[in-house]
Amino acid sequence: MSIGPERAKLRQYLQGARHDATGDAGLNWFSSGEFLDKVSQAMIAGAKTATGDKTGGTGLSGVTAQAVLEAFQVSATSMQDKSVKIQAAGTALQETAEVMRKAEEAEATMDVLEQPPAYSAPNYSPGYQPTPAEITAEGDKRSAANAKMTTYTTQRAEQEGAASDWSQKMDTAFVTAIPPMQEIHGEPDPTEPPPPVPGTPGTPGTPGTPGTPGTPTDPTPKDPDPKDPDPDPDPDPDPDPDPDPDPDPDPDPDPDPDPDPKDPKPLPNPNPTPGPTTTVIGSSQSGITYNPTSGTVSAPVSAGTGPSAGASAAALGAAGGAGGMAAGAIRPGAVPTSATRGATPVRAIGSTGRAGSAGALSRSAGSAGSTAGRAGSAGSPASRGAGSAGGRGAASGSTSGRGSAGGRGSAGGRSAGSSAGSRSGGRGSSGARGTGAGGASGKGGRKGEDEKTTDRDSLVYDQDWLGDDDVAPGVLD
Amino acid sequence: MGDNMLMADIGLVANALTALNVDPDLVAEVTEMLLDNSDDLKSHIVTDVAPGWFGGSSNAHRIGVNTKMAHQAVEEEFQKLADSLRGYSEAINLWANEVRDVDGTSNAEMVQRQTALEQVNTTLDHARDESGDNNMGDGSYTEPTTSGSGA
Repeated sequence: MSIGPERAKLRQYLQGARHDATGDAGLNWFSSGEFLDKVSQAMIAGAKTATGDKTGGTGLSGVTAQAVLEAFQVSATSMQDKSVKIQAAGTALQETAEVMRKAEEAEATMDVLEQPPAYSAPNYSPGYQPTPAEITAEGDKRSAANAKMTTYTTQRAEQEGAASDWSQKMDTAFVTAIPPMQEIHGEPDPTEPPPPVPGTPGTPGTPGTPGTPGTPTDPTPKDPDPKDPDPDPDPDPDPDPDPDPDPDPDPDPDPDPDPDPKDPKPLPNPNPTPGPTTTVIGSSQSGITYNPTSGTVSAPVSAGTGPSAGASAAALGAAGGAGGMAAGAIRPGAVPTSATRGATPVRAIGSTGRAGSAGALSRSAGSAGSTAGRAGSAGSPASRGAGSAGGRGAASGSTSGRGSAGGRGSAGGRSAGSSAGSRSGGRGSSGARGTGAGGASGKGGRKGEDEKTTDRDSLVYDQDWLGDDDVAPGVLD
Repeated sequence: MGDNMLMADIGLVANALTALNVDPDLVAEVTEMLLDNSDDLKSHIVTDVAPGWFGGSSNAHRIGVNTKMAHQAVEEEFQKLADSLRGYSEAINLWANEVRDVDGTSNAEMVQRQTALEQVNTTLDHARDESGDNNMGDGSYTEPTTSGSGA
């Protein structure tokens, strides 16, 4: 049993909230404003009395009396203004209380969703041939499990959406209620957050509620079939440049029961939406723009199979990680002494993801493993993919120097091949160029450097010519 | 300056006072109204709102702090207004006492009365300025010493 991150956030919002007391206070404030208005009316009436309104014009007279009457008027006017402000604040309190009450009610009526167990295929002993009836029964089980999972996922998404809406409504109500309070106390809001400081993309802000990373269903159930031809159940992105875009021997992506009696193993991903992992990252508290696409693409698939890299933002981010390898291969050549500058273009590639990914990549040349690990643990599959890829690129950059960077550039070239058309592919191919240059010429594939060398040689030659004291006079002579 | 100027002022006061109409019942009615409202303002309770009543979000904290500040300002303002109304009442009573039965017989008496009226004006001005100030409270928020549950 678990709740989603948005619902957890809503619960946190409601923790300690007292809409009843707040509403009563708002009512009291409003009536206090009304009371002050009554006092002001009494002052005006008193002024009229003093001027003889009730006595046929024979009221108080004299300069001082006139000053009293004018002072009454000033006070009454001021009281009326303050009365309006206090009433507005009371109304604001009542409105926030009402939003809190509704949010609390909405949260209380939300179901506690039980995540159904994922379908697990029977563990037949080797060589056992299941009967058609068994196959049919397993198919039914699988369909039922998938249907339950779909229902759960849908309900959870709806619940998360509703929870997010109420959190936002509370935020809006609270922020809206601040100006009326400021109108009263007349001071700058001491709680106003400072404006964001540009140029510090490396601070990802509050990581927010890491949420419930432990709850998601394992999208890759253990393969019980010993006959499974796939020797690698590891969900880690496959670095193998397999030209086959579909390493899965099962061509049927349909979650329906697999009629193949020889392969009763479940599909690698019967649960297409391991939502909790990505919705955590997508929450507003994490300071990351919510990217719904990343929620439907698991990191292993997007990073490993490549073809989806050009299709989704998450995959693009992962490919950006691969592109990071390429960039890492390129940049050390372009700017040999600056690893962070070398990774800067990676940020543009991964701009669809969080800035932290780019930061991880930018730091990767210096401290590859730890940085990439942080990026992975913080985020979505996309950022995880990017982080790991960046880490790999960093490892190549830090351990192999220029020559090996060129080698990694060739990996980027492979990435480009598998995700043709994507920007990361373009980067990858750039990496391949760098590799080719490096491998062929042994100069690290740095054309710019080559040109620099040429320029430098000519300058040296010129300087030698200029520095020769004997030559110039001789020529002039 | 000197005696001539002083005598001229006293003469002006004396001339003005002759035109005054100080109805004791009228004065009593006005001052009673002022004192009643002053007492009501003094005893009026504006409900405090604890910051925690808005929940556990950061924006809840923001509105909580601002509400606390506003509450403090309103409470101070009500006390200030109560004091102002009482000041009005005192000024009117003082004025009525000083101008009642004036015949301007002696210069010494007139000087004494003028001094009293100046005090009336001072009290009056202070009460007007206090109650007529657009800012509520004393203009400075004092952090509560304890962060209790509010009210």
